[in-house]
Amino acid sequence: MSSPGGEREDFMKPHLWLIKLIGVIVPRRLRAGWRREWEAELRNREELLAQWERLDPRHKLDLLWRSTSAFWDALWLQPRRLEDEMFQDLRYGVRMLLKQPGFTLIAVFTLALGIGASTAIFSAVNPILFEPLPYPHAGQVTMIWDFGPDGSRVEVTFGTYRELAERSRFFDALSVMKSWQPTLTGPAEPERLDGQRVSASYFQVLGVPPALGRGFDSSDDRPSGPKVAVISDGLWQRRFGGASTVIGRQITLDDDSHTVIGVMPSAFENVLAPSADIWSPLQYDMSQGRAWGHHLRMVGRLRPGAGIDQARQELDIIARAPAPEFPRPPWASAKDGFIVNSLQDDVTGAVKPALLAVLGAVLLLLTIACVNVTNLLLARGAQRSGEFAMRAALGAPRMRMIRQLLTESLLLAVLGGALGMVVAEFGVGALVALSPAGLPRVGAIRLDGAVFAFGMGVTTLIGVMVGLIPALSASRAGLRVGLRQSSQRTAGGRQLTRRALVIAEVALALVLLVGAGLLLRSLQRLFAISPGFDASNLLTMQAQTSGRRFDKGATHRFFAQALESVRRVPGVTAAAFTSQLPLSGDVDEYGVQFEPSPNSRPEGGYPAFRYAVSPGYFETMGIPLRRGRLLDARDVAGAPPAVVISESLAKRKFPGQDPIGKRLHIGPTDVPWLIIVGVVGDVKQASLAAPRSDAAYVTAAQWYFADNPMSLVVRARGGAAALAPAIRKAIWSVDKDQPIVRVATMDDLLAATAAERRFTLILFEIFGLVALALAAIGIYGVLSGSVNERMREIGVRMALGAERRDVLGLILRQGVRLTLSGVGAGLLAAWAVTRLLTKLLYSVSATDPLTFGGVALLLTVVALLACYLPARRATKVDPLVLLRHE
Amino acid sequence: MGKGFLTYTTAVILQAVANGYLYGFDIIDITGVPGGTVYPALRRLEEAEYLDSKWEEQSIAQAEPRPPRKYYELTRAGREALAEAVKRYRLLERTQPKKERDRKPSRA
Repeated sequence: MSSPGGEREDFMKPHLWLIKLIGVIVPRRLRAGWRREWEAELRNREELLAQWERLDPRHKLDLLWRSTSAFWDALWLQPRRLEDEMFQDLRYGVRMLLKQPGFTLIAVFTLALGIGASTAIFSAVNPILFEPLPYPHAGQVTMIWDFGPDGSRVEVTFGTYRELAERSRFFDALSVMKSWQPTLTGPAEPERLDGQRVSASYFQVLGVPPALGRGFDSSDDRPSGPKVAVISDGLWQRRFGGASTVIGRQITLDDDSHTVIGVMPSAFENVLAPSADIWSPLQYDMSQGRAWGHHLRMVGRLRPGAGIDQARQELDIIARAPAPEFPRPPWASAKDGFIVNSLQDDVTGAVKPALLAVLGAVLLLLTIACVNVTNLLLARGAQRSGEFAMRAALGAPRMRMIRQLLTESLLLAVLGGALGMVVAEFGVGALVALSPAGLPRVGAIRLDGAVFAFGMGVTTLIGVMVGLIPALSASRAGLRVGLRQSSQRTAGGRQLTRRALVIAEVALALVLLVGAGLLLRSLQRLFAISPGFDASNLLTMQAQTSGRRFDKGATHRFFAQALESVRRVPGVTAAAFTSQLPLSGDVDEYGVQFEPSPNSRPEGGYPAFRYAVSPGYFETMGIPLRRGRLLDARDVAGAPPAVVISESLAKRKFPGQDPIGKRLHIGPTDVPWLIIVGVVGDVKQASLAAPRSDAAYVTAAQWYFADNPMSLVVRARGGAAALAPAIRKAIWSVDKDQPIVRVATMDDLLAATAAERRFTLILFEIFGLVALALAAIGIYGVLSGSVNERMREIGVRMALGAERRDVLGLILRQGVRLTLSGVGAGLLAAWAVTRLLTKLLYSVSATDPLTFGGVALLLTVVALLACYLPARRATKVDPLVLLRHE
Repeated sequence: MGKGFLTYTTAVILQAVANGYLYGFDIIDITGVPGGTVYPALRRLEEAEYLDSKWEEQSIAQAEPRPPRKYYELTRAGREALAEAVKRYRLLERTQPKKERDRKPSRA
């Protein structure tokens, strides 16, 4: 074409390079011809203008300029791209799918369920398990806990915080916090706010400064420091209309005037107290009695570059080397060191096992959905074997047919994925609505970019996976055209694949259902546990006195009068107050020190729940008396301090002895001894599953400070919830300005303690049922296909005298074989896999035979029902009609 | 393009082919219309079946030597369309010189 030495010269010709470059966008079919045309024109012109070296720059530029016109030409050719093979495949695929609307609908719907469910679950799991917390360098934020004597973690004391803040070098900032519920009064109606009292460095630890105004500094955090507050964006908008004049404004909290000095950003997510709206400096006074109580949570930010392990080691060293300027009482000796966790692990750790289990379950469901659709495609491939045979005969290469089929399966997947996003949207809404109160970062559960990307990725993967086997199988069938024997063998091979897939489907469904069954049994076992009191017809609420005018005496008077008033409400059979309510999330623990007897060894404190109650509490709650007497009207201020302990504590300290008359201290030891006057039955405080129930009860009148708020418990004659308005009115008749919150029946509280378990269970149940349905459909499909293919054989059998009954038996036997293989494989798989669930199970073994057996039975019955329909259809075959059509 | 009338530019290009300028670059030169307009117009005219495109004979090309070029020819429908266009754009015929018929490529 060009002159012999021309090849190398071509290298130097930019106009030819430009044609090559522009040629990339020309549709492939037209590319070669297009390039020839342009190159020919350019070379010709070159010739006319003389050889390249002798052209002056003007001519060279002219050639270059002309070749740029090629770009517009190439652009104009773009619409021809639609004739490209890929688009042909697409159009053909769409036609094929429209031809069989039933199949398409089922496949798309099945995929939508699978993709939608897994995307929704991923949206919940992503912010908790994968995304970092919404703070700068969130990995540097850690929680620090003290060790309880049984190895569990407890909150720290203020003294511990002070010591660590001084002595630790690895933390940039440490902060303690406790919850605070002030009442905001003013022109609008009084509102009890959720808030925190925090150290000055709190916002520095989190790394989120206020958007308006300022945070706290160390001068704010002294015992007699100024009364200042930082509010959340939500509170700012709600109560102050978002006005910028809020900084410096005076607000009345608990009858005290506070100055608002800062507003947090609207995007601020406080994982430590998600509903907190207001913060105030802790202003801890060590001289008050509670200084050594374990009632503060501690959070810290590591120095840049420091790792958690280094911090852990340092804290261990500090723990083992007490310093004289920081004396430690026996129950805060830190002798076991401290627990240091990253904040992320701490916040998400409790729900991680459940979330991972649910993620596993939804992926199982997705796999089942894919297997189902693969089976559908295989069945369709069998029906279309004629079409492929013809295409092969016309010379279509195998790759082309595979590409065609993969395009179809991708198309199905994309349709399923699009519909799945709608399903996911609903799913996310349902998840958020159903989510238990303890689920962290609920606000971050939504369909965002990461979730959408996950959905797209899953869709594409499914499209390829689901289509691969049918594509390979159908194209192979197309090639073996004309040989009847081999086409039969191919059909047999395809049947084998379908059967294997169905067995896998049934097995996976069984695993999922076994998981659901185990969780269900756990929940049943949990609720079979007695909480230690009578939970029926019991109403609870929290009342408090807020304001400076309520000193200890006034507080006691308020509660006493309120109690009187409540007892007079018709329908109330008993009522009492308590400082902490069982199963409500309250935790108030103290170290109990028993009076040492002459020969006893020195010992540390026994951690126990402390209850300050009104006389009549045990009767109201229905807590049984085991020894001695209950607290009653005798135990007032000035009378000998009396205490009642729980059975478990009595057994622990005085095994086999009578504890009545022995003496103890709860917490501080510089007060008079308390005398044990009675022993009562154990009560579950934290949850039904938590084993600890060591408790000590005193009357509120005899405790050295007035607990505030107090929880009211009311036993009603009939339905407890109906009495709530009347009881509130009774309390307000004493003082109408005191807020009443957390109104709930004890039954509600009981249910809430298992909310997370129930949430996991519900999800497993839903997935399990869908999996069951899909597996049944899968079996039905395979047997149907088998019946179709064996029509001739059935006809012959019946013509030779087989009864309908025999044919039924024939097909059913095949179905039973499939089912039992699937169930068998499933039982093996479940046995291997369910041990992953042990963390979520309560008093149920991961290989509980009852559950396994029950689920196997359920699955078998459902599968047999699914087998019955094709079997019946087989019996309706008229052999004469069939054989005549051969 | 359909059965509508030709635009002026397209008519000019068609006229150029009728006048013997059969190659793309030659049409660009003689009409003064830029390449980015001429080539798409040629494609459209070919799609509308007013023009036929062909490749030169190898023998001619090899004589030079250069690669064979693509050339365009008017079809009967094209001639009719051009006649229509001439009636509409009355100056058309006079704007272009006819080409000397010395280098017309021979067909297959």
